[in-house]
Amino acid sequence: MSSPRMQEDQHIIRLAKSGDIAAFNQLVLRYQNQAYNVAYRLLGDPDGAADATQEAFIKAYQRLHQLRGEHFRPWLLRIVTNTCYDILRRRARRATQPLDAMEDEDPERLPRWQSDEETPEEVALRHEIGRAVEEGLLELSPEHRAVVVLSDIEGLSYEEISQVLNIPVGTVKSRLSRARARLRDYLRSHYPELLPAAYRQ
Amino acid sequence: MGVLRSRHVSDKELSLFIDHRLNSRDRQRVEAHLQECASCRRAYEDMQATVLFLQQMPRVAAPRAFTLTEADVQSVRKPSRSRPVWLRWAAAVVAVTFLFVIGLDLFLATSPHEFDQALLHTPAETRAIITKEVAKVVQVTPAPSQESAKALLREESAPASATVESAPPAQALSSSSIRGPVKVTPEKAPVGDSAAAPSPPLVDWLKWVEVGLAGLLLVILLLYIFWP
Repeated sequence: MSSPRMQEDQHIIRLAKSGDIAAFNQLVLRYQNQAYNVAYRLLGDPDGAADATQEAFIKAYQRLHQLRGEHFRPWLLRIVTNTCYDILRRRARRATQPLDAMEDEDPERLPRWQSDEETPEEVALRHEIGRAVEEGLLELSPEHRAVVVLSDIEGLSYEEISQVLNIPVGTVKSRLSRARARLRDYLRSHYPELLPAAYRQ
Repeated sequence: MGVLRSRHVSDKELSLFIDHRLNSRDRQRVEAHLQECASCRRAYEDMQATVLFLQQMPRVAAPRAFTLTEADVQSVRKPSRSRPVWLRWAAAVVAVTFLFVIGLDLFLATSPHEFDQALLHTPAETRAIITKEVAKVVQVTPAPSQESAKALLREESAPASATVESAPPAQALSSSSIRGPVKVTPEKAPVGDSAAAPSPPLVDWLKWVEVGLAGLLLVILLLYIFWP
């Protein structure tokens, strides 16, 4: 069940555990994009996501000796999500609004948003959908957001999500369905024109 | 306007249906119901669109490399930085043993001390009775091993120890406690001013254990605080 990539991870982890920073940095380079994306979707702003990612990798290095038998990716993503939960809690305590990062979004940072075949109208629609989903995601509770981000944005299986969030697969199923339903209902009430049901009236 | 409508599909069933995680019986039921129920169909289509939107969300590129530098590691030190398990256990065991020994010492030390006080303020007749009782207590306390008895004797005058060296341990104990080479059986020993020996050897021995444990506790405490 372990892929060649996981076996390679195991080898690098052994080196990193003995204090080899270069080996650990191989793992960083391999997983930093996914870690950053998860943090970005959970926090909703790029600066917070960068801080969370850096903090998570430092924690991972410190706790590497606790990693026994488990695969690196779900273990790392668990540290990332927990770090983001902490940041969100701190923000909630300080009662500050999350940075309005989506407004000044740099289009160049979103390469898949645009392609040569799309008309300007299609590009505009994609932008609107992206903004609507980002808004809706931030309306969810952190727990619901995490499960929907890991499943539908990051493409993890129920079993992997269960490992990352440390909850049973049954809980993943019910939490994911509730998160999707809430997000759907948010879009229905705020952006009804984006959903197919609108065309059927 | 069908009179017999099948049960509506829950959001959980829709979610599992979208992910192809329903068993074939449930899947067929959901499919059949979606054919006939417009509101469930809308709920399904909107949820499917929501999932599709999520799947099409753009990936963002990491703004920089998050590799750790030597400087990060300097402040972080080695991976296994936290205090080892053995240190926590050692601290717990030593602390508990220390408290136990202090408790034992207090328990043993109180009785002779009370008798000492009593002896100072009682007439001679009662003093004799009390000394007999003390003697019993002294006898009841376990005798140290032969080696330690010999060691005690060696601290006294050399000729005395030479004469007692071959004596059985019980005699060695009584002679050492009355500080002289007089050979007496334990039954006769209590009568006399030396009967109320200030503290039985066990209590002395316990004091050294306490000092040792206190030292050990201090070392572990320092290790705990200044663990690298």
